[in-house]
Amino acid sequence: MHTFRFPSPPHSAASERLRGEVRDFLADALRDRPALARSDSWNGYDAAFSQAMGSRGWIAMTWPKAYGGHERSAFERYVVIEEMLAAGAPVAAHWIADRQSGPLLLKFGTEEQRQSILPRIARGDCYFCIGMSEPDSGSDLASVRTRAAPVEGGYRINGTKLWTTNAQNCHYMILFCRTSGSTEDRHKGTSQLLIDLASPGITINPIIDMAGQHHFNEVVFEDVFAPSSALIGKEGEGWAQVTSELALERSGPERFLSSFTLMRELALALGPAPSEHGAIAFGRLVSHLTVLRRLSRGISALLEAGENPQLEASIVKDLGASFEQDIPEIARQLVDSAPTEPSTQAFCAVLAHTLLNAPTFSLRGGTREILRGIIARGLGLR
Amino acid sequence: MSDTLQMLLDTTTRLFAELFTPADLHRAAHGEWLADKWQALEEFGLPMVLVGGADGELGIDTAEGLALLRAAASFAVPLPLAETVFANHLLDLAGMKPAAGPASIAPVLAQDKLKLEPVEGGYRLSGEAHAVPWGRFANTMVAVAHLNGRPHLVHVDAGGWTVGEQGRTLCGFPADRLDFAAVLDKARVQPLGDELPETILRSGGAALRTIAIAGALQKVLEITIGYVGERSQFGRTLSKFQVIQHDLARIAEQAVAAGAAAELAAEAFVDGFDPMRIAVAKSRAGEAAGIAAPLAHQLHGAIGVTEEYQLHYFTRQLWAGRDEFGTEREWNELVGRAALQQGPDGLWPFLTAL
Ligand SMILES: Cc1cc2nc3c(=O)[nH]c(=O)nc-3n(C[C@H](O)[C@H](O)[C@H](O)COP(=O)(O)OP(=O)(O)OC[C@H]3O[C@@H](n4cnc5c(N)ncnc54)[C@H](O)[C@@H]3O)c2cc1C
Repeated sequence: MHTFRFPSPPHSAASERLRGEVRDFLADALRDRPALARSDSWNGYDAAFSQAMGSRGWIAMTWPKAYGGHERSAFERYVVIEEMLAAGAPVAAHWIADRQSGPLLLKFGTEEQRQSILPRIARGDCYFCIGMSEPDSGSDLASVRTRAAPVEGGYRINGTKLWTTNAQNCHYMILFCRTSGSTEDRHKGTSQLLIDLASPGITINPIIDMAGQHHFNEVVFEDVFAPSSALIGKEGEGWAQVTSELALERSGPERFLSSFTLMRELALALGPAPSEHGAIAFGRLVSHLTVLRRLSRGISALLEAGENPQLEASIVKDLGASFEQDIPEIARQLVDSAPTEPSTQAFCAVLAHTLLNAPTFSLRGGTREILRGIIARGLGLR
Repeated sequence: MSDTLQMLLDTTTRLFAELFTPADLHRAAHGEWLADKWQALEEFGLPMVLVGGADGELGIDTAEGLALLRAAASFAVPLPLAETVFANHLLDLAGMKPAAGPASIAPVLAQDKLKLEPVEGGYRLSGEAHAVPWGRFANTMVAVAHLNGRPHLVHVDAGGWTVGEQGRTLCGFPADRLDFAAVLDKARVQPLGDELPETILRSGGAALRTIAIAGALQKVLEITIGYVGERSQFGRTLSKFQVIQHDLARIAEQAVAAGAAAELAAEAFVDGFDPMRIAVAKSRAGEAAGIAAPLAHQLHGAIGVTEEYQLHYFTRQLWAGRDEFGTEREWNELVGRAALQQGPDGLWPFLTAL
C-alpha cells in the first residue's frame, strides 16, 4: 500500500512578506469589483489585470529567468495564487498558461517553443486553453479521436474538442490527439501539439452554461495545418506527457477556494455575533478549509522537491470539491435571504451563482469517480 | 523525520505489537488493569517521552514524542499512556518533578472546577471532577485548580482523592468521578504562567485525542484494505468491485485529513497549546472519524461488529475520541465565533494565520 506523502508546509518569512504585497495590490486593484464578479473567481477574464500581474512578476514565478520567469519557490507562487483566489481576482486569462501549459512547454517543449512563448506568458500577454476532452472522450481520455495526420512539413488535423475553457480568448491550445494508429491502441500513438488558434480551419463555437455564462466552447478542426515545429515533446509520447500535466491541473488551491466569495458573503450575513448554530456551521467550514490548505501546501512542497504528486493531488481535489459543494448547501440554511433586501442582495446573488456552478466542481479536471479510482489504485486495490 | 525518531518508531511499534495481543485488548476493554504491560511501557521510558524535550531520556522533541503516541493509537494501547505522558509533560513545564506510575489529568469536563484555598503550610484542594480517564488506576493526578480565581497547576498523589461513581468510555476504559480532598505543600502548586491557557487540560487533551484518532484511522484503513483483499463474494475478492474501491478511497481521504489535523494539533500543542488550531484539528479529525468508521464497518459485513474481530478496538477508539475533550459542536463553535468576529475582510487573514 502506498503511504500518502503530505509534508508539513514550511513557514517562510519571504512568502509571508510577499503575501502582504499581494494583498495590498489586490485591495487596490479590486476595490470596485462587486461580490458577484468576485465569485466568478478563476473564470473571470481580464487581460489588463493579467498584464498587471505579469509586470509585478507574479506569473511564471518558478520558471527560469532565461524564459521570462522569476526563479522563485513553489511556496511563493502558492501564496500569490491563493491570495488571488481568496480575493476573487479575474485570473482566467493567464491561469491555465501559468499553471500547466507553460510548465509543460518548459519540460517537453522545443527550445524555439520556449523562447517564443514563455516570456509572453510571463508578461501576461499570451493565453492558453486545454484541448483534451472531446464529444466521445471525456473521462476516458485515451480514447481521443481528433487526428493529426503526418503530411509534408507537418500535420493535417481533423476533429472536435469540447468543453474547452476560455478558447474564445486564447492564443494557443495544447492539443492532445492521435498521430498514429487507432482508438483501439489507447495511449499508444497519441501526441501533444502546440496549436495557434488563429490557424485557418479552426472554428470556435460558444457553449452557454445553465448560469447563462460563456466560458467553455466547442473547437472544431477542419483540415487545419500545423507545422512539424508544433510537436511538443516526442511523437507518440502524448499520454505520459498529458498525465504529468494533469498533476499540475489538479493540485492547486483553486480546487477548494473557488467558492470562497460565498464564505465571505456568509460571514457578512451572519455578522460578528452569530447564533450558536451559525457559529458551529461556519466554524466547521473554517476547520475543513484549514486542513485542506495544509494538505495543499504540503503538495507544493512535493512540487518544489520536483516530485509528481498526482495521487496526493487527487485526494485534495476530491475532498476540496465536496467541501466546496457543501458551502452553498450550508449557506442557504443559515441565512433567511430575500434577493430584494439590500442587506442580503449580494449574498443571494453569490449564492445563486455558486449553486449553479457547484456541480462542475466534481467534474472539471477529472471527475470524482475518476479521482477515487486513482486513489484506489494508490491503495493497491487495482 | 529524524533518524532517532524513525528508530524509536520502529522499536515502539514492535513493542506494542508484542505487548498487546487480542486477548490483552479484550481484558482491558472489560475493565482489567494490565499491570505487567504498564511495567513494560515504563521500562521503555515511554511515559517520560515528553519530559525534558530533546534533552530528555529518549532524546526526541515534543512533536516527535507525539508521533509515538500516534503510533500507540494504531495498536489501540489499552493503558493511560497518553494521559500519563501529558501529565508528566505538564509537571515538567511547570518546573515540578514528574511522577512514576500511571497518571491522569483533571478536570476534563468544561463545567468541573477545582478550588484551592491557602492553609497552614500550603493549600487545600477540593472539588469534584467527572469522567476522569483511568481515574481509578492512576497514582498521580495533574489538576488545574483556582486560587482566588487564578488558575494553578497542581500535583496530587494517590490518597488526595477518592473514587466516586465509576464509569466507562465507549472503549470500556475507566472514566471515573474523583472527589478531591487534599492538603498540598507549596511546591506542588504552581501558577499557570501567562504563556499557558487556563483551558490547557482541555486543549492539550483535545490535541492528544486528535492525534489518537489519526493513528486509529490509519489502522482502520489498513485493516479494511486487508479484509477486502481476502474476502470473496460472487467469485471475486471484494476489492475488485468499484463501489468497494471508492468507499476505501473515501476512508483513505478521511485518514489523510485526520493525519493533517493531527500534525496541526501537534504543532499547536508545542506552541503553547494554541486553542484555535487545536479546535480546528479536533473538529476535523472528529468528523473524519464519524465518516470513516461506518464505512469500514460496512465493508466488513457482519464479522466487523463481532467482539472477536479486531476492528472494533479501533472504531470504538474513533467514536470515543471524537467526543472526549470537546465534540465537533464545541470546537467548531469556538472557531466559528472567532472567525466571524474578524468581519468579512478579516476572514481570510484569520485563515492564513492558522
Ligand atoms: C466547467 C468545466 C470546464 C472544463 N474545461 C475543460 C477544458 O478546458 N478542456 C478540456 O479538455 N476539458 C474540459 N472540461 C471537461 C472535463 O474534463 C470533463 O467534463 C471530464 O473529464 C468528464 O468527462 P465527461 O464530461 O465527458 O463525462 P463522462 O466521462 O461521460 O462521465 C459521466 C459520468 O460517468 C462517470 N464515469 C465515467 N467513467 C467512469 C468509470 N470508469 N467508472 C465510474 N464512473 C465513470 C463520470 O465520473 C461522470 O460521473 C471541463 C468541464 C467542465 C465541467
